[in-house]
This record gives sequence, C-alpha cells and structure tokens, in this order.
Amino acid sequence: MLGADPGKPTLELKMESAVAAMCVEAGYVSANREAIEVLAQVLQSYIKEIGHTSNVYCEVAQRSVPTVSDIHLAFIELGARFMNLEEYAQRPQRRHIPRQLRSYPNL
Amino acid sequence: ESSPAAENKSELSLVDFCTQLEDYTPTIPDAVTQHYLQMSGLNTDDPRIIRLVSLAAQKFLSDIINDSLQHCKMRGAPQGSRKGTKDKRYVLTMEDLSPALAEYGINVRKPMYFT
Repeated sequence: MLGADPGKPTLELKMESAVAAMCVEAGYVSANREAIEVLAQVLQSYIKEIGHTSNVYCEVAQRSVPTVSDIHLAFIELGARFMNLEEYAQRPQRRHIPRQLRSYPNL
Repeated sequence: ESSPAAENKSELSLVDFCTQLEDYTPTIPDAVTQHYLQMSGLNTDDPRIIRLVSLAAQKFLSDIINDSLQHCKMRGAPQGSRKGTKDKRYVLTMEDLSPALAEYGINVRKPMYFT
C-alpha cells in the first residue's frame, strides 16, 4: 500500500518500507498508511532514544567513541531484554530490503 | 536482582553476539539507523553497534506488531476475509494498533480537526 510519495524524504520512505516488511513478516497482508506512519515514527523515536542514552553513558565515561557496553547499558535503562535478541536474530522467516541499484544514466 | 556472575556471563554472550553481527543484514537499513543515531549525537561507524541498535529497535517494533495482530484476531475482524476461502487476510489499522501501543506506554491521538 506504500505508493510513491515524491514529497517525502528518502530516509522516511526506507523506514516505512522496513516497517511494512515487519508487518508482512508478522502475518499482515495489508496496512493503513496512517498505521505505518505511526510505527515508523515510533521506530525513529526508539532509535534516537537509544542513541541519546548511549551517548550519555559514553560521555560520562569520558570517551567520545561509543562501545558495545554503552549500548548495553542504554538497553538496560530502556528495559529491553537482551536474552531473546539472539533468538530473534536467527528467526527463519526474516526479511531484508534489497539495496536499490542506481539506474544507468542516459547520456 | 541478577548476580554479578550472571551479569558477567550476559556481557560475554553480548560480545560474542556482536561479533556474529558483522555478516548479518537487519530489516532496517544501516544507513537509516546510522542517520538517526547521528541525529541523537552518537557518531559511530562500527557496523556491529549500528546493527545491534537496528536489531533491538526491530524487535521492539515486532513485539508491538504481534500484539496488534493478536488484537486483530481477538476482535475477529471480518474486514479482510475473502469469500469462499477460510484463510483470513489481516489488515493493520489504527483500531488494533492503538491498544497495542498503549500497552507500551505510547498513547496515540488524532490531531484536532478544524473545519
């Protein structure tokens, strides 16, 4: 149901494609545009929150380059459970969005 | 309260897991996650960190979507079912998504409508 929307930034479109792929994976056949947009915003906000929290932990430790431990602490603060993550990563029905190749320029 | 030994073990398993992520492709593209991480002030080029964040965000969203699917099934949504076939075609709507998001503390409201 995601039609081409020329006014939308590419990143948001990619985010919406990712959300749509997750919906199909869960068992949905179709989705309302409104619902996809809300989920894309939730996803964006979650990533930003992880980034912000990890950055705080990184700076408290007087570092400028984040480590895996900073991300780990951020996940704990956000209440994410790590134990199931490995299992989730290896699920058989996982999908990924193929990278779009640039079209050959018309000279 | 988890014991220090258990915490140490989870930390070790996390490091192992991160090394596995080097040749893993999450559904959310790396460039997208990296952009939003940069927007929040976290500058990193390490693909392991980016993919770990992608995967965690993906799992968070996937849990919400699964919850809304359960809501949809419990409601017995007749909307998408085809005539003659028994398999139901589920459609993601705000009606199912709102209660699922509310369970995670996210309250969705429509903007004010002015005529």
